[in-house]
Amino acid sequence: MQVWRVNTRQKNDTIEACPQSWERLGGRGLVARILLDEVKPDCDALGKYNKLILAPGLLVGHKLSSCDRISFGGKSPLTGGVKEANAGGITALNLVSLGIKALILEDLPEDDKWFILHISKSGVRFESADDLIGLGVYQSTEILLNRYGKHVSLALIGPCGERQYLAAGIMNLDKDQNPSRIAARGGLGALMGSKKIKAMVIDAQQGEKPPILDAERYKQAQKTFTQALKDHPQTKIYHDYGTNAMPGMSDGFGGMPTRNFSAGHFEGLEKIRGETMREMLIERDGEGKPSHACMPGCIIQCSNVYADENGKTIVSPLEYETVGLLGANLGIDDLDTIARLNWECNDLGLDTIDTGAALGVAAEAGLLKFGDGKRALELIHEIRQNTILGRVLGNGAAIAGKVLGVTHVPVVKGQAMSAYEPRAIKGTGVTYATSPQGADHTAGLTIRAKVNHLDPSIQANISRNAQINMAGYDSLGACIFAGNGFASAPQTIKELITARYGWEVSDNFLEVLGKETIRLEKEFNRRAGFTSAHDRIPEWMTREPLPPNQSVFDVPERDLDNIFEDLIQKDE
Amino acid sequence: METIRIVVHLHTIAQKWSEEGRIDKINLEVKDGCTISELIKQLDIPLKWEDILVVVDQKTVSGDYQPQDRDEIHIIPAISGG
Repeated sequence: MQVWRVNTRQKNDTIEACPQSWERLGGRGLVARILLDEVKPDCDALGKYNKLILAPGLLVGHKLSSCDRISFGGKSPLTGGVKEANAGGITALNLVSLGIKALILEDLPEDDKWFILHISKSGVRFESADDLIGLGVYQSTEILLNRYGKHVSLALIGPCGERQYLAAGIMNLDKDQNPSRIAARGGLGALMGSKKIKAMVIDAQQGEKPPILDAERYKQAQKTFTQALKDHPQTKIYHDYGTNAMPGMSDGFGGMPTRNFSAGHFEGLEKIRGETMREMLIERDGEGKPSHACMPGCIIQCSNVYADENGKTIVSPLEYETVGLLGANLGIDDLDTIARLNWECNDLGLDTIDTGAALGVAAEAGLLKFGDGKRALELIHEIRQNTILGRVLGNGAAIAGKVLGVTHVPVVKGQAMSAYEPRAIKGTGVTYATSPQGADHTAGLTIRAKVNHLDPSIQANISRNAQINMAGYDSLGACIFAGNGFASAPQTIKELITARYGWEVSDNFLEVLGKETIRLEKEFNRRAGFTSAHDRIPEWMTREPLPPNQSVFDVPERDLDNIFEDLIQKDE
Repeated sequence: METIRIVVHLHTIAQKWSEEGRIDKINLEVKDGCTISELIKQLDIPLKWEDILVVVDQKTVSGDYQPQDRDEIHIIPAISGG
């Protein structure tokens, strides 16, 4: 496997062998290693010393169910710290088919010309993107697929990435050429925009599957893993209801962020929950699908295609976090409206979580009446039109709070919380506080644990384990839900890795990967100037009780400070 | 024998279907002192105990929990996240 470097100032590329110290890392772990090795932690995140890294996970390449995810990374323009955001779709599969272990975009152009990067077996080609600038993600995708063919994969930004909005992400094609899979968090779309790259077109037609050293052993491990995943009860739930199976559960614990995180129960729950959505999609028929795979070979198929009452697609997919942040968090109980807001965010290339949180803050500032979907769409149009208000909102909840004079801002390290209230699901609150990534549910959710989520004394351990596991899965390129298969058949991780690469790895390879990843990330943040003061939930959440539990976030600060104490080892 | 009235909310794949459509809520009269484990068995929920979360008043309860009159009980096939 190789490391491909693209210099965005000189407009050239180099191909190198993978350094030995990077070999056994992939995805999120590799992003952290490269950042620590090559990026000045105190650099300007939108300046010439930051790098945009694409790193497929270690298991990517063989359509193992739900294990072909791509990690994007860099110093976060939003948090100022380490950032990895991963996505499904086909980007990782194509990069690995070209033999790419990591693709690193470096430096900064000296002029304002925009480019497309065409990446194939012949190398990297810079092509003008003049005709795409200002266009939305959907139209850009159509043009790019017509130009380069339906076989390519794309990673592209929308107008918000071009404008370097801090809530901008990077969109990726799913297996059906829909640009729906976003590496959403932390403003990596802005980082790509700073390098004046509108899109990466990855043509793997001349590529090939990566080698497997012991095909028989791999096949056996794949079979065991696939069966374990198929048999896991969560697989059926995600298949039938998608991630939107979650509202009933989070609301059941009083943890559904409602009206700018002011309540944990949403009165409109029944209208937005997955059970209702599934029934609606089946009744509406047409283009809508309650189940859909974003990656080839995925047996879970938690994605969906959301169609209107005439059976015409509004957006694909409609996910829980979006329903939470652009729905309950705004007091909106109409799935069609939420889906339209979602489409607008996708087209603009925006993270729906930070955008939903920013709109919640705007509502508290009086710019939107909670529940007013029409006005929410108008505010998204402000973002599209690049008005001053639009710029405020498109830069995420933290900036919106500062400009609009709102103190109830649900962020950690400047990044908005996902759809789990930390005062009700306190373990996830610990994750928000202590993850080097900033507030991010994918860094370690704890809602599944059969514990009292309100007991502050037990949450740090639960969060720690979840964070280590997730950092491991993110490094393997495994979807969080593939973790159910691996949890039932944990030996298959070692078996798959050993069969594919010939490495002798320990039985607890997932934990080893996860710990190493977090250690590297913490070290990058330390050098960037982060201290324990950054590992805190907003103060108002420690004082203001959340109905209906009337709970505050009261996990002791020493638990937050000590959570990864054993991992800290300076890496000079 | 004393009985109590409870409301059981069924989530996702624990929901049932009748000719009238999806059943997501059941009003029940059960004997006072029955446990959640017995209730799960009675309702024929097609999941093992370890794969279910039972939530009353926003808190997880154990299989030994004895519902109180007018409890709203959520039977949630557990998932890891969204």
